[in-house]
Amino acid sequence: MQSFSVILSILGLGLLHVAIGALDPDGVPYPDDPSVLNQQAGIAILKNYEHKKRTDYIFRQNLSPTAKLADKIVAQIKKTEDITIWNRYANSNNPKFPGQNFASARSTIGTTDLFKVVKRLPKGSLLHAHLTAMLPYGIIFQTILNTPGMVISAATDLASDANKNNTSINFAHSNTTVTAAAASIWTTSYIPNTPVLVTEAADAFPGGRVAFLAFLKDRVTLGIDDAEQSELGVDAIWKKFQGIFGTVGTAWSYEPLVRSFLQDLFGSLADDGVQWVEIRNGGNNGVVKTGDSVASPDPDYWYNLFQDEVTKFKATRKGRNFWGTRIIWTVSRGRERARIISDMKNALNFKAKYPDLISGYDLVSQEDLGRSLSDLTPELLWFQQQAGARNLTIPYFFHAGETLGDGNSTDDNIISAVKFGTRRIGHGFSLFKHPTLMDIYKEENVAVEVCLISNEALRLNDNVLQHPLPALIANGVYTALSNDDPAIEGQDDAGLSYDFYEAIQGFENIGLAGLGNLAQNSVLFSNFEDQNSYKWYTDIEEGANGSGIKADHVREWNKDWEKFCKWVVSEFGAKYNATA
Amino acid sequence: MQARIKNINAWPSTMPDEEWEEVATGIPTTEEPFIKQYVSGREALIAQEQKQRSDFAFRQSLSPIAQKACRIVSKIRDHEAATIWNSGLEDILAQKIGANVYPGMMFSLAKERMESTALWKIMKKMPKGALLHAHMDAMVDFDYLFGVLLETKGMHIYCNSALDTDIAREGAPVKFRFQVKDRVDGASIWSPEYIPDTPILLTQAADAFPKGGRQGFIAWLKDRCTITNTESIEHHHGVDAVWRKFSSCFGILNTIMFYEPIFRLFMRRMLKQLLDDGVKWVDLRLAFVFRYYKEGTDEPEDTFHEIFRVFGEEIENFKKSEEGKGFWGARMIWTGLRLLDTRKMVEDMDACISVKLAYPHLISGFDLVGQEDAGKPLKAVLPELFWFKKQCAQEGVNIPFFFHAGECLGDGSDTDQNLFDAVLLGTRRIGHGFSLYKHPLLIDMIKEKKILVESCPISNEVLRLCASIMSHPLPALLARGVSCSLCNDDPAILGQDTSGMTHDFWQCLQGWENLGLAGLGSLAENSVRWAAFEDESNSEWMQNIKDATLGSGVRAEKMKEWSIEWEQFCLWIVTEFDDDE
Ligand SMILES: [Zn+2]
Ligand SMILES: [Zn+2]
Repeated sequence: MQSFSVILSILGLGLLHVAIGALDPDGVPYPDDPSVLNQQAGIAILKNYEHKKRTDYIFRQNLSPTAKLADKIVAQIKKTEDITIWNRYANSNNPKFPGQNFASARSTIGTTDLFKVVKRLPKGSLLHAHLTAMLPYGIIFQTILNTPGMVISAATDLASDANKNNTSINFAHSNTTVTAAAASIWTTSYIPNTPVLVTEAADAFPGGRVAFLAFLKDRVTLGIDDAEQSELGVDAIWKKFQGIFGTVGTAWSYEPLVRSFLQDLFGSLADDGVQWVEIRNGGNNGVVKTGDSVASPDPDYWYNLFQDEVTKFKATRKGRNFWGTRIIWTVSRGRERARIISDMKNALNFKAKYPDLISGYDLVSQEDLGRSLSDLTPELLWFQQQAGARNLTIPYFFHAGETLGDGNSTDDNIISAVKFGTRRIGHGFSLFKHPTLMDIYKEENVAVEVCLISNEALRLNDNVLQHPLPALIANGVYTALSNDDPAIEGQDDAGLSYDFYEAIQGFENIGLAGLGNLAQNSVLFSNFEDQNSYKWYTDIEEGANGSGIKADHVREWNKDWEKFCKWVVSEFGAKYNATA
Repeated sequence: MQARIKNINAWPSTMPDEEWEEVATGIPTTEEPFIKQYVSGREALIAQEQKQRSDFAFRQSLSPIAQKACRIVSKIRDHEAATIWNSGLEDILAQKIGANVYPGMMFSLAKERMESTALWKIMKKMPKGALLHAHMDAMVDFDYLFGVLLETKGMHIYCNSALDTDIAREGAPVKFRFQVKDRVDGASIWSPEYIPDTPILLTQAADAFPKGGRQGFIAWLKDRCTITNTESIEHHHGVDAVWRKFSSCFGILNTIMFYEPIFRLFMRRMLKQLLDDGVKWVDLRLAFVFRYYKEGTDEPEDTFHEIFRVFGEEIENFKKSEEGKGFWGARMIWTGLRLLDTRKMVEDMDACISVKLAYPHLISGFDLVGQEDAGKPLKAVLPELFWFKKQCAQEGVNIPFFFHAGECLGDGSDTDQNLFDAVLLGTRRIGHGFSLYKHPLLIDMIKEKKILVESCPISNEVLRLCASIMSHPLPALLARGVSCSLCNDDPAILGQDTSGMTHDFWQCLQGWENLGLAGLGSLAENSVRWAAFEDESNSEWMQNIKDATLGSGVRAEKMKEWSIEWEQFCLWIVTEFDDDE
């Protein structure tokens, strides 16, 4: 901080004593008067000094001339579209404005040039996403409808709107002929839990198949209404959110469907420029083999199937540049000790069996209402001991600080997480209120997986402008953008483009270069292979200069980034009239 | 984040009992040394972080009674969070506005319920020191003000168009003024025949209001002058939309309150409510874009000297009165409008200097107001500001800056960057500083230069910078060691509906575990420490703030007075609320 005090003394209050020169007819100094220029120069120095602390400072310093130009062009695109698309400065109650909530802005976003740019940007890795909430449900329900033998059932009849909105709905595969139901699931005479052919239920739905698919999708997504009722609060939206996973879990349980979903999922990630994905998923993966109707008793079946599909995808044209995927094992944090321990044992067994596939361990579901990491201390220390004893590398990637609180137990999770040696944290929404911790996260190279749209959909912020991401970047904390549950939370696309768009549209201080840095960070903080903490740490420090898989991928990403910047210049340079 | 609910039973992971028993013996208890070590490491980290807080020193020096009071209040807070602020989260309730009750819910939805809590009773009684950021025209509750308006002889209503339809009544620039002679003829202002700009005797017009006569009239006028409950929860319409309404309120109010008899009553009401709320000093802000009328005249004053004469007189009268006993006083931060052109802005600055020369003890500083996002950034008015500084120096007056800055969302936008200018221009305090938490370097400078942030949590929420107290960034500033105080900004318009600050204090206490009563005490103490009691040079200002209670001037004296009140207050909590500790 030496140079800081120097700056202070240069700038100090002394500035005000700079002599004022000639005055205009009103007796006011001209805008180019030394006193005015001096003040402006002072601000430029300060801003520059502040930027040195940013996480993306070095990345910006090293931009190639092409990348610098691309950055300028994109800033111009944003400025232009702020006015032409988002009506900045328009003095009326216009429905569109900068900082509009994502849910209602989404359809407009897709039409912008800025989105075209972002769509094409090489995104590196997706580090935080939950398996059953990644692939859009439009595709999922359509596939179910097209798959023979799929049945639907509900815990009550689905005649009334209230039941339609609240009853738990399940999908399954039936290997026997399902006789036409005695009563339609949409009438009060439906007998609860009776399986009905999905095709039959769809045709009987008021409005037919199209309306049926729309109804199902609406049931399992958070919409504009939810976004615009933030006054109902976080717990209320979580109730709705949690309820969704039951239904969609059953959609992900029949082998041909799972295989098809995985191909679709990897394909759409690749389409979006995502090359690596770490998927969070619970360990209890029963799967119903093709043609069966009960889950296979073989606990390995799902894991083999998953690995199979990854290999298959990498062999396709689309999958050529796909680096791959690993799974972060998750368990619900609401469980009591015995069940957590039992789950941990499973995780360790599967880790031993599938070392390349299983990447780490995490706890999920609403932090505010579940057990805190501090409360889980014995279990978590036990797990580390066991893993050490069995020579298994299965580090923590905790959800932490996904909360509005300041000093409550959820907020404290960000302290516990770093003490447990977490390699990244999911969300870290409350981290910006903790200066000491931010320093520790920086020093120990712990990255934050930031999920802008997810936090908005779950009511931590009303719109992207209120998100604390800029504070983390300004403090030099490593961050990467993730999409969490894009099928539920409104992105309706497995890729990262909407989250990237929100970041660049929201914050002048990020810009294209800032986005590039966020994408590069995601590669830097990917858990490509088992590493001890020392190797993990040094690989991050060395980045593209290191050796090994990570360095290779960073270099590959750097190349893609240059290519992308070139594309931006040739595609938009003339239109937005920017020159170097 | 995700919750997994699976109903597939063919899952082989359930540990057999005998195995579990074996495993269970291997799980460390919380008494194990390495767990204890982990836990103590964790505590040390928290302690290290607490040391950086701006309220650390204050907390360290709490008396035993104050410590006990803090514990009691935190217990009450937890208890009320679990009882009063818990609707049980029935599915149906959870999706209905107002029915879902939870800690940290939006201010306008929580207001009524909060006023019935024990926490409210405590906050109400708390000695709050000084109110450092409040716009005078938005200080007095409208029930009172409109009552006075209707009772004041000779008040008339007029408008540049007929107020005959709902749409006209919603947006037309309605105005009021005193007339020596009552004007009772002419077509009703509520009819299409109304001749634009004709003053109509207010009592007559109010009684003839088409939707419910006089009562309907008052309700309508309130709607025009406040951010309504509906508006305050419709956050998705964004900041600019709510500011359009907000700005329009002032236009109406400025034609009501600057007629001398009304103004005097306004002052008395405001000062009394402040003192009743435990506020002993107020640094008001006011934009001088209105006309002031002496009692019995319908010709406006040419200058603002007269209003300042009355302003000073009312303050002194109040201090001398029985109900004003113990009140320290008030001063005015002159505010220009940031969107004025150079000439108008300079004329306004000139008027400020001229009043300062006449009433040096009443003018404490200068500021610019109006929506930051929509007006000129500070960097665009540097020539005017430098002129002002030079002019002050020539006239031998000291009018420091107390800028609004960073009352915005966004990061790196012009408005956000006003923070840089404010600091470099030597501002003594910053109004709002909402976006400051994103600027680590500026934070360090602000600490070094002893600049205080006047934080206005309810104002920021209602004007849509954050959805609730829970997402306000003040905790981040406190954690960094920035000195802050709590303020209410525009309580009559924004919904607090009283001059006092209890609502803002209550919201912070309930919102943040890390604050607690001790944190609030520190914020109140700061407000005294940074109040502009008297003219001070830059170095005196700095020194007196550094010296705090150890100094020798007014500031030190007031701070000592405040800490005595604080101790009495803590004692009161302990006697009143200690049940079983
Ligand atoms: Zn998550
Ligand atoms: Zn203000």
